[in-house]
Amino acid sequence: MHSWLRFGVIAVAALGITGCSSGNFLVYKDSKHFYVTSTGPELKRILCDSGDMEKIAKDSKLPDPLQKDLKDGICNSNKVKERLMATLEGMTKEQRTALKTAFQQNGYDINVVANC
Amino acid sequence: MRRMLSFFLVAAILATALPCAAIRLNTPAPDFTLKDLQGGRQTLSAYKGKLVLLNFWSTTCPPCVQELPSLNDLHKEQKQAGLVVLGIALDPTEKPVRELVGKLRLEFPVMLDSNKDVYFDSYGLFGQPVSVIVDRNGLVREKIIGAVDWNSPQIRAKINSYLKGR
Repeated sequence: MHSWLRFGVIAVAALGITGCSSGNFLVYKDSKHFYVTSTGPELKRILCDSGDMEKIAKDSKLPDPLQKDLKDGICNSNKVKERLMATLEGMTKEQRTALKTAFQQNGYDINVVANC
Repeated sequence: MRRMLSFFLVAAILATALPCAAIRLNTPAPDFTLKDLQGGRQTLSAYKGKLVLLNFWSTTCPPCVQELPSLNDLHKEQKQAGLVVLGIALDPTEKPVRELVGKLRLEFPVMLDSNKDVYFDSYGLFGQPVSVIVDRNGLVREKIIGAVDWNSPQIRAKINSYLKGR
């Protein structure tokens, strides 16, 4: 029993430590943050169904195929985390600046860690 | 022969003109200049010849805060050996950073990258904390995602090995 308890405590502590620190892309709006790789309904509602992601992609003025990759990577129900992260990492500095600015212009901040 | 030379010349120009993607291991770390809490400016290229440990963190990230004391220990013990620790805070304002730096008595330089120009735009990093080790030649040697105990024997051995120019 004691060993199970110890395991539980360690597991919870480990989750607490890694919860904020995974190499993931976060967006933050209205005091809530979302992993863009998440398949949760809230991210889909706020970022995708609202049309925000469409607008962010357009405002970024990135090349059309890259805009499509980002929209699919974030809003498609069959999205693959690794593919999206590879797209983000493969972008140039100027492209990441444009994407970050477009998120900010639409009320989002990126990779803010809050409420962990 | 001249055609071959022209080809290499064009290739060389293209290679240097190509925009950099996110940082990759064994490639040069992008240079940057950021303002530190003392009002000075810290430029990565000024530390060429040293082993540089960049630690990206924020005050709202508990694992980030948790690892700072051991990072401070590492800085104090290895600075004479050529290690430079640079803390890069991602907070939107300076006040909480300044308060935490004072509370933890951090001795290494801490800079503010509120707009994430270095963290996201230049380095293409995600998650916090994340640390990047840049060797004496300015090459990225490690990207460590998540909190670590900088006092652990494994980490100390790794740092020592880089200091010795592995």
